[in-house]
Amino acid sequence: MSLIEVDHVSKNYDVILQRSGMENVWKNIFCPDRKVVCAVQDISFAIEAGELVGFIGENGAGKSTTIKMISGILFPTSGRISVAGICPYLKREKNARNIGAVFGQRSRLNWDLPMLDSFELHKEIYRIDSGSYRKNVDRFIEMLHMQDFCNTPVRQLSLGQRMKAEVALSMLHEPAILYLDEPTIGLDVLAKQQIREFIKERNRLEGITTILTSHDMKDLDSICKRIIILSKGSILFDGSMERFKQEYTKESVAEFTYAEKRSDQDISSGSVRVILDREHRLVVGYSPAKMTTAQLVETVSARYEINDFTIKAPDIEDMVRGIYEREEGMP
Amino acid sequence: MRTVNGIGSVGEAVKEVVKEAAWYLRLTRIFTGKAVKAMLTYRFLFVINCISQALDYAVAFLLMWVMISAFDSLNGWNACEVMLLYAFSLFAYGIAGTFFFNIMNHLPGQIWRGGFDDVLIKPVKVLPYLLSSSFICNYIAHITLSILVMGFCFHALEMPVTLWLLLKILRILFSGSLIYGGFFLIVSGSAFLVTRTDALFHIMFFFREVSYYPLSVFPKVIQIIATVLVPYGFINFYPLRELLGKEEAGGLGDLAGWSPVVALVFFAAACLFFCRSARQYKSSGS
Repeated sequence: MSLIEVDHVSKNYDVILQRSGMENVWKNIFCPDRKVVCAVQDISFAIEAGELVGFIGENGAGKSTTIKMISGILFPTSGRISVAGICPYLKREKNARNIGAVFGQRSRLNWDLPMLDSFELHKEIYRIDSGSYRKNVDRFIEMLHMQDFCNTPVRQLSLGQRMKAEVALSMLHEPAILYLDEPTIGLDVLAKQQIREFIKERNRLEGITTILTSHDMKDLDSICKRIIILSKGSILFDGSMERFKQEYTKESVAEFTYAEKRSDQDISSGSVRVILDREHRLVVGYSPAKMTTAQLVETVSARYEINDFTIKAPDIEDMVRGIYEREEGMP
Repeated sequence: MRTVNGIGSVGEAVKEVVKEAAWYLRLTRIFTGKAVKAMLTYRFLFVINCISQALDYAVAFLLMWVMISAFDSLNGWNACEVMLLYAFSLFAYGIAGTFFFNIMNHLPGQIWRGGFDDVLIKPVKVLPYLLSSSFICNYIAHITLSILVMGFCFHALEMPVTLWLLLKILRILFSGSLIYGGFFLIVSGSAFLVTRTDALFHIMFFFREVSYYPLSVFPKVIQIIATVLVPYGFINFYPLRELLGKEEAGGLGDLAGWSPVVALVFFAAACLFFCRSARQYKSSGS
């Protein structure tokens, strides 16, 4: 049995529609229009212990709703969820011991106190024994470079420092599963990097199953081994990061500088296309699914005396944009 | 054999409940310690706040005393007796506020912004956890002031303070605090259903004034409402009328003995309402 099992789950919200205009004031008060909004529609997936899974989806695609259902905050309208063998929303308290969560848009720290005070409260709430508490706090402070600010009131910390504290807080009780909802939103490159390394390290050492949502594709690329793409409440793609890249990458771009042409023969074929060729510069587009970099270089060097080349790796952000646009019906 | 097992498991269950309660008490202590530490940042604000609250109510007491003394009495209640009514109500409000005000104050915002999710992902029971994390000392002014006024009034009324009287006073204050606690919980619980609760709080806050005066001076309708619908009468009017030995027939008869029962039932119902409402919680998304 998998650690997390989501079986044909749907979630509907009842939303009250406010009509605009004075003539609708009474209508809005006494008989508001209700609309059932389907946030998540018949989704199924299973996650094994120790996996690093990324959720991708545009705003409102159902990522947060899904995470809230598996963390026991929301009841699904239909379907079945099991986390470590128990039903998270019926046995919320028991499930809560197993999980840690960071909601990037909200703070769980007391802003008037240093982060260590919030850590101590967390220790009490999760009934963490003093030994492992001490060990984890020391280790986390070192790994996330928090020595300089662990005694400063949280309201005086920078966003990056605060987010490190939030992530550390969520792992103090050594949860089996970690939900991270946009943990790197608005952070600088260094803070992002440290948080990513920390998450990976925890996964490697403790085997913490991690589910991550982010709009930062570099987060997903560096942390996640598996990607689940949601759109309008349904799963569009569920598979490994490699497969995702293969399936959704249309073209990579390589740029060569060469000393001279060996022949005038065109190198364009089914998998390579010349974008530009002048003044000793050659730019080609190729499909990484059909051709490896080595094969490309071989093909090009057969006809050109190559000095140097660079390859622009497929940008996962471009791919995801492509998927959203396809869903929107845009070209 | 079965009965023995039954008693055994009941004993176990009781032990479990006591253990849980002790744990939440410990949590309250730690939360309160942290809250006090956080408050030290704003200690000036805290002191000013307490002084202004104390002044506010002290002026109200003074006005009451001057007004009623000028007319001798209010429906047969002299100035000291009416001030006692006020003091008992204020004390009970202060105790209830100490435990419940912060829940009522913060919950609508938490629900509105979706921050209540953070409570739900903790391995805790919602209401006991909120109680543990919401204890505040801001009502120290209310409580001190009402104790001073009580002392003054009992002295002026020449009532000897015996152990028996003290026990009776404690019973009244306990019931009153439970009733106020119930009101706080009902307003808080409504937040799960309607999100914004300011209006409800204001109704509760203003209706509180009914309990500052003898219920018998109000129109019959209000007497009935304050007895049956919202039990303000049981906070102080009915039990104090008996305590002070007043001969008057206001309200719905002599209901002094019912005070603790009404308080317990009302409070239990409020808890139930709160927990039922909490199940309605819809996360606000993010």
